[in-house]
Amino acid sequence: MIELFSFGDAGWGDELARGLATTLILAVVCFATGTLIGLMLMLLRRRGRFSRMLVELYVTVLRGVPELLVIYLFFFGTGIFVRNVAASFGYTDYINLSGFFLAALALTCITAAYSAEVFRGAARSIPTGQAEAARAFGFTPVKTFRLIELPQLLVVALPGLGNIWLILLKDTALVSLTSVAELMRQSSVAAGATFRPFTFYAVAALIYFIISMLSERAVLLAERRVAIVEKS
Amino acid sequence: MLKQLIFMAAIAMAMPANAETLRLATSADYPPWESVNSAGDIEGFDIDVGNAICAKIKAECVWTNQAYDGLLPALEAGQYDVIISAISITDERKKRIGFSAPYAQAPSSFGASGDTFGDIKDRAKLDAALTGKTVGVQGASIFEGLMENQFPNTKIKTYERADQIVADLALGRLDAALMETSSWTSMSEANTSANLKTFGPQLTFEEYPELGEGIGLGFQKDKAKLKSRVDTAIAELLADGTIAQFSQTWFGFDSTP
Amino acid sequence: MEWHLFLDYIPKLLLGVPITLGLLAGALVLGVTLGAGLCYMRTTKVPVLGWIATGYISLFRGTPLLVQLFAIYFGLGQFEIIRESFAWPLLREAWFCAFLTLGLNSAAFTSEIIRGGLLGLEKGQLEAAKAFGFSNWNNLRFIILPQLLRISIPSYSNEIILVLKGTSLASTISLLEITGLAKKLASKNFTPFEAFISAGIVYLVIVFVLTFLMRQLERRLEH
Repeated sequence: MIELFSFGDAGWGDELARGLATTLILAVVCFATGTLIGLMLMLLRRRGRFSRMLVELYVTVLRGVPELLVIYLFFFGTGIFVRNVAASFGYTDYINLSGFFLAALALTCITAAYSAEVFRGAARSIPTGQAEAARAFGFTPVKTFRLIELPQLLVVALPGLGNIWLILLKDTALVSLTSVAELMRQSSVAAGATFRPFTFYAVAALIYFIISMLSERAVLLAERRVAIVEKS
Repeated sequence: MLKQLIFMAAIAMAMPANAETLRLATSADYPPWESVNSAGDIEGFDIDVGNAICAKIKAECVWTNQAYDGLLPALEAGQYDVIISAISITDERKKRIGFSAPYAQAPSSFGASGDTFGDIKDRAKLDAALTGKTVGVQGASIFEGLMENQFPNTKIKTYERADQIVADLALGRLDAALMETSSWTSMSEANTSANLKTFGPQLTFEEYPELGEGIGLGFQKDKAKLKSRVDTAIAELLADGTIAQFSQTWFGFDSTP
Repeated sequence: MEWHLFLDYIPKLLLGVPITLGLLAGALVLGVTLGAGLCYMRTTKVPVLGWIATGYISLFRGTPLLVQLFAIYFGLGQFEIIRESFAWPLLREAWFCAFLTLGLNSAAFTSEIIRGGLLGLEKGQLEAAKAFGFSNWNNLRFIILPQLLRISIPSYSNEIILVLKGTSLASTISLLEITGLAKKLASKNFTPFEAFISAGIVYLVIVFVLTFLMRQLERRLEH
């Protein structure tokens, strides 16, 4: 039992550890880019009816379609799509997109849609009078957003963003089906090679569970700190 | 000896001026055909064949390892000159790319866990034995199409990987499976408790055109000159037993056509 | 992109809709039943039951659905005791494993929704009902349930969509529901783009229909 998880050629410990590292990198990268794009989408909504409709369409589609399908579409379809677009601009060299990159792209798009909704909800809770007051003091719109709105927005959005992180962490497991060697993929390969599927899936579940619990704790702590700052 | 060395050095020095490079691509995730070893290098039957062909046509091999589903588009886009990745020569693929003469066969057979099917000698008995049975195949493989066309009375289940098929055979979720004979060999070595047994006659191209007429190298369609040079090289390598020897090394049997 | 393929693919993908909806319905029924049970376990005064329920909920909420599905489908057969049990004829079936996983998973989320709804109920109403002499059962039926339903419907609509999306994972254990069929079409004809977008359209239509139905239900409960 122990030797199954040892490091080195005999055991699967090092493979699982590398898979875990990939999972965490994937989740962190997609969370950072996804929430940033989500924030931009929220701002884009304000720029007239047409952009609002576009953002709403994007959010509805990405939230209504199974994540697995989005990942398949990016993984199997994007290569062809990108190459066709490139070819229409006269660029005919083969463009090789790595599986990790395509998986990250898919998860980023999904995260952006979810976080755009969280930011939209959070923005509604900030009184518009503040922005008007700031403008009256001669703040530029950018400055108003950066100094007045954004800090409050992040505070209000914190629980929602914490939720998105947990969903994203779990969604990274779907990437295993496109052979990106993250935690789930490595567990699945180990399960197949050792014919101990339950053992390896249970260990994978335990690792995901621990990260989830730690993340939840971290979000709670952050919320509490923010609450203290707000009161003082 | 010295004379030979000087001669070779002269060739080597002359080479860079007009040395031909051949850009080969493979998807190194299908042992023993091609895989990445623990040192990080690609190896396998196809790699040996590819290098031997390069040597014959006096070109320098430049290998690239990339995902299987991107091989055909990359070849069409002119990123590579040749793709060699256990690719079956099928009519469907012939519409898009050119193929060399077959350099190997990929014999395939049905198998099950245990001796449930007994001794099956001909197609009629095979049909009868498989009727109503659940048969596993790898998704997107030639076997999926073969099962649909040739054994419409079976229930087909597709899997991502061969080891998952074997697991479900052992658990009784599948009655039988269709895989390459070499996969059966490596799988039964890896999992003795599943008690894997192949049954029935080996499937051949004559009877099952879905299998393709063998395994070939892929080129862009208009590369007639390259094709004829490679075909000559393959014919020579088949005649002098080089490919048969590679096959013995990697498969443990002779897979030459 | 070949546009005519959409017209060709969408009818083919519709063949997977019954499996998708069957899994959805089955999983929701199991999820609500088990979820209500879990919620009850948390409100009783027996601490052990509460711990079990809390542990179950955080385990299923804290791990990926795919891991749960593979642990059940590929994993349970590892144990001889399960292979020889009465449940094995069911666990052998891919459909049953997908249904079971989705239902067990949904139960964890549903119990949280029910709990949230109960917390939202006003205490005064319960007391008023008692003062009017309503029995516990009538209390539940006429006062609590309708209120609970009304409070919980928006978040439960969300849960339905999440389970619908979860059914796509059934394709990984060889079930040919919408995603499974799309993957087959994609690889067979080298047309991933058209196949997966067609599947996305089918899912979106189902989402719109379900959302519409839930809105109607919500409106009716308000009157």
